Amino acid sequence: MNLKPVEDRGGTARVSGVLLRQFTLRHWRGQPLRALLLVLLLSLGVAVFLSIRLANRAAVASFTNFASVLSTQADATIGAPAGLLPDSVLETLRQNMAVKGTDISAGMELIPIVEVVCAPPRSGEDGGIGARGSFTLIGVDLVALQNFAADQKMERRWFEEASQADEQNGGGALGRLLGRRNAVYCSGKLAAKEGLRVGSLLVLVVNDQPVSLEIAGIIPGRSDQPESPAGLLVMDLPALQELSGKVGLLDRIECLFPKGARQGASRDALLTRLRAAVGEAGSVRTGESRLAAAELMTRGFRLNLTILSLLALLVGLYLIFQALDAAVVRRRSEIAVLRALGVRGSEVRRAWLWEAALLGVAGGAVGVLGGWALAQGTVRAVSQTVNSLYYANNTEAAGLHPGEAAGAFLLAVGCSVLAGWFPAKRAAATPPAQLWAQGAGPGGAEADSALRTWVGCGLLFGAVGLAFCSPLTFSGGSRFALGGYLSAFFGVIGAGILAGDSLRLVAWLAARFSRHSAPRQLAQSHLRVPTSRHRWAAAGLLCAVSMTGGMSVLVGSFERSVSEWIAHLLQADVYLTSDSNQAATAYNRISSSSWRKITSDPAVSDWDAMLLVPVEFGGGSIRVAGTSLDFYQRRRQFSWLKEPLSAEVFDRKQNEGRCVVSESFAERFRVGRGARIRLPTPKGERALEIEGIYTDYGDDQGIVMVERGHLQEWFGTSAVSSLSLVLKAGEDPEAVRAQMRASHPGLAVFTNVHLRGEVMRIFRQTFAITYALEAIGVAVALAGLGITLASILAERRAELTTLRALGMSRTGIAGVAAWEGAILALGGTAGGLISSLGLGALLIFVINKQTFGWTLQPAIPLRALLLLGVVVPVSGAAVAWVVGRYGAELPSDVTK
Amino acid sequence: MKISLPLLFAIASAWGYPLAAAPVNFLPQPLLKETEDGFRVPQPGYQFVFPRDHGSHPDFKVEWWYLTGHLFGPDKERFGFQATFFRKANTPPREQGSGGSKTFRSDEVFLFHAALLEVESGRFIHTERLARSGWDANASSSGLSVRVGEARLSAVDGQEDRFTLDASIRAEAGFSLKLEAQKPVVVFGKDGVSRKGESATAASWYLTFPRMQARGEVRVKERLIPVEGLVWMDHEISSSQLTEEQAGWDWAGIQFEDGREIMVYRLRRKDGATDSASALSWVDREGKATYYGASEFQWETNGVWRSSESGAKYPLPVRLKAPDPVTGSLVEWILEPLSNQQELDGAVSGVPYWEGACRVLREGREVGSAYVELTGYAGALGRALR
Repeated sequence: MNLKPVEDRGGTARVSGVLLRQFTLRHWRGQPLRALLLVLLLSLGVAVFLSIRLANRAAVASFTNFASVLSTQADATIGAPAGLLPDSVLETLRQNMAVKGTDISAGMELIPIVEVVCAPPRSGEDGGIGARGSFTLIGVDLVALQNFAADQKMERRWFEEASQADEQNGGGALGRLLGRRNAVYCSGKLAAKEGLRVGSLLVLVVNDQPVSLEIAGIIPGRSDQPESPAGLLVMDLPALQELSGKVGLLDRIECLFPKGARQGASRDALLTRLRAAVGEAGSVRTGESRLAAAELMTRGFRLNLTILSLLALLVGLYLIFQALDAAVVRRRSEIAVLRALGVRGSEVRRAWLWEAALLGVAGGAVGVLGGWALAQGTVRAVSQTVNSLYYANNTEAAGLHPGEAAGAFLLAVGCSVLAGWFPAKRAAATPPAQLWAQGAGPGGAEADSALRTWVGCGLLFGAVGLAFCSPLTFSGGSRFALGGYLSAFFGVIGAGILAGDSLRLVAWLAARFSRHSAPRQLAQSHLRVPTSRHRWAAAGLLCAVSMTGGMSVLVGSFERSVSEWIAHLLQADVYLTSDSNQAATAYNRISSSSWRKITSDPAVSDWDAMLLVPVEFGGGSIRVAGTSLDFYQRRRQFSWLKEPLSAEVFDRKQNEGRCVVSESFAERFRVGRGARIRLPTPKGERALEIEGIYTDYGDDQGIVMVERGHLQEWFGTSAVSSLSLVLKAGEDPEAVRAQMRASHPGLAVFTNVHLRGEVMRIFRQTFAITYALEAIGVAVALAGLGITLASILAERRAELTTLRALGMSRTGIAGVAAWEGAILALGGTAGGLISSLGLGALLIFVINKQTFGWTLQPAIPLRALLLLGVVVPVSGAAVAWVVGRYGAELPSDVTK
Repeated sequence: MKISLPLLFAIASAWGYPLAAAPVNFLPQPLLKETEDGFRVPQPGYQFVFPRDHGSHPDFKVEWWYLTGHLFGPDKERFGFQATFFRKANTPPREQGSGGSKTFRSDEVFLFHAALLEVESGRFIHTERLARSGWDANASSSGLSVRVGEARLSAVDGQEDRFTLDASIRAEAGFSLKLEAQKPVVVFGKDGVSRKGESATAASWYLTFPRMQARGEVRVKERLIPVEGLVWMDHEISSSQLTEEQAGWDWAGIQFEDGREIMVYRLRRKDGATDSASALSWVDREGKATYYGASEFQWETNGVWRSSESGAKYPLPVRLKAPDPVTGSLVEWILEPLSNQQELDGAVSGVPYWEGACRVLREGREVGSAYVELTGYAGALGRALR
């Protein structure tokens, strides 16, 4: 190396360049496998994080407006605060918004929308709820759409296919299309997937009837825009009004402001005018607020996933830290030479930081690509859960969002540099004389033990304090458990820092069982005074195990609570709903004639019918359930948190103005028993007094339950959403189910056993992705263990040569490494399991409660924790054994 | 007659409208009372009652209100504009309004065209809008009040000769005008019926205000300009009038500085010949019309302009020769576009056509202003709305 001290900035840059080439990259070239593994592990962390972000984004983006099909976004959306908008509001709007042609606000487009979430009919005994997927059937004025086709320069016209099909008739496509009540447009994706062509038939269940729709064409798009989602179908609006029983009604009106009024003061002025023009008939939301509503609805769910997805990255950072820290030890003689040659400490530190940054760049770049690929798989899992719990969602692919990709890349680089900061500092700060001294690497084992213990304890205390912080609250009642999440983070990091101390204890305990085994004693001797690599490997494992174990505690508690809840809730023998209600926002109904016929079946002894409607409340969206409160109470279906003090709420003659609410509602809006709320209905606001609070794990937005008759009157409907039937003694539920499925092909019919199974299946499906994320985190931690041991063995080549010279076989050396790895893994796992109990409690009592508003019955899943306690150390030992075999093959001569 | 652009063809064919098959040789058959599909056919001798007959006639299949004009600002700004409201019934009168949504009617649709030429810059802005009858478009049958989207044409306080017109062209431009007729309404055709061919249903009621004083404002982007000018307004009602033999037509409405007007159209047959149903009418200062047949005037081209958008070649400028009823001598005018770029791209209708403001030159001297319409130069007309 030809180095000399330089003062100028350019000289410093040159020194950095030389150091990078000769000092950093030379080591990478010398040990390419190690460098590659580090990059891959970091990239895996980045990939997992990015994939979840992309999947979340895709799922939220699917909750958008029809205007997006026209390659734009609605500037405002008009909806009814409760129920549907009468379509006469359009005429009112036109009159009240009448503008002069010269007004700058002239040119606003109003797009009335009817929306129905539906599904294809079942074919035999098909999969469970949600298995068939949902379609969003949009009713829009097909005539007015021509104008958008012209303005948006669409690649095809809406009626192109229909026109081609009608070629021989000399045109007239539009006229004929308007005359057909079952014509529907589908996306190109669906057409390709299902082999649909113009004229093909598509059967869907709308409300309680299967209907046959004829494909009239493919939804046109722009060549520079993504294609329409596969689950989107478009019909002429009045046809869908008729088909869905929404004659004279609209779900919403999407408004596109003229170009000059899409932002700033003009936009605000137009919004004000729009609100004044709508008056009491509807509520006006900006385009952003509608998307924000979807984000709000799923915030807790998405945040949990995002935080879980950080697990692998966090563990990866432990690895970067320990790898760079180990490099300081390995390269100490080189550092000493550099320092002796006059290279300043700051330049050595910079070289380390560059190395960390390079790792971050490489890991980030590979991770971004991997994340995008992984997102195509995770998006389905996320979509399924969003579909089941929040709104209809058929997202099948996630695009590589530039912002998210850049964020993940910067996170990788930033975190990597952060992880390299401390080793870099140590490399630069240690005097050359100390560096020359063999065996006294920078930051020797005990050098800062006391500080470490204090920091670890401090973080744990901080975690406890943060757990008691109140959540942040947002408009619409949404809350964010910031204190809870910070508490978890501090706790895991703090426990990780203290993990090294547990190694001594485990090594001491292990020594009790291996007094007569020299290899084991040799392995234990390495851990009596664990190095920082040992500590960080154990910390990585502790982090992974504690988060996995904590989630297991949460899931176990959740499962117990849900099991007890459905045991209470599901008391009837047979349940019916529309077969199209495959998603949380599918509000297909059973007509009055159908449900009256079903409930008068001779096999039925008792029944209840529930009407479920979404309403806006407190700036957010909730649901109002109309049911027979008497039936619920009589059948002991309520799991009360606060039971009504009077029985009047169960008496339909006395319960107008009374309600019971779910725990999520009470938590979200901070109301208790005795509070009065004002509920919007199409017939004006209704004042209700909360008589009781019950548990409901099926909804985290909040439910207000009232007597069905009142709700039906307020919303002007006699239809219902679902039926619960209690059969006469001796009646076979399966036989009744079979009979009702045959006579009502548009209805989904469940027996009690079947429905319980479905609830639990959906529950487990919801958590499926979390298991995958945890498994990846643990795998990364185990790989980190392997890298650590490989690094340690490389440093012990002289010792290994001696052992071989003394006659120890390669298998014996591998055994030593395996024992060392097992003790490390055991230490990390033991610490992880202990801290997982604390983390589990935090998740149950703080994060879950503050995010979803559910009180869970705590349960410790012993089997899952035991499995974790066995699998991780055994896997650690196995990985260490493989690494030991590799170490035994190392040449005795120390070369770079 | 102001034949309603290619859009009449477009609308007619797009809804399976049976076009008359016989070539027009102007030996018309006696008119039927109604078409085969049950729409009324305009009858001679009809006594128009205004303001009611300025309104909609839902018993007839097709109807339009067509306004073109020249507007001038205080700083010598000059604009040409077009605003057209079309109504087309999909179902016969007896079936209209029977069931179905009142807000989204499928039995009647409207089409609106608007264009504005800023002469100084040559900027030409235009738009088309299709709307179904109901909340988004409607026309009163008791007087003039027609609306398509935000565009409106309506009588002031129910009067029969004072109207207001409001229209915007996306966010880019708009106009808001008060119109006052300077002459009584002219009803073209013998006994008040304008025959278009020999078919027993090929006829229309064709009402025109050839000279209306316009006052109001024009907006170009965010700039408001007070304007005054002259407007030509047609209102035509029919149920069937065109033939398959026609390849297109050329039309002009000329307002002379001496207070007279010419309405002229030349129907072009597929073989290139001028159809004998073509006609020219002079309107004198009192509003009295004088009719001249196809053989009595000449419509010739004085050049060709090729549209870079549609590729169509339009015969522009136009050379028109016709007798002056006052002097009896044959006079030649050049109808010279204020800008060649006044082609409407047919984004909604699918049929591009040229409709533009022109100055009228006689022996090199400007003697009036005109609007010229040239159709059928950009491909088949019957493919519209696909």
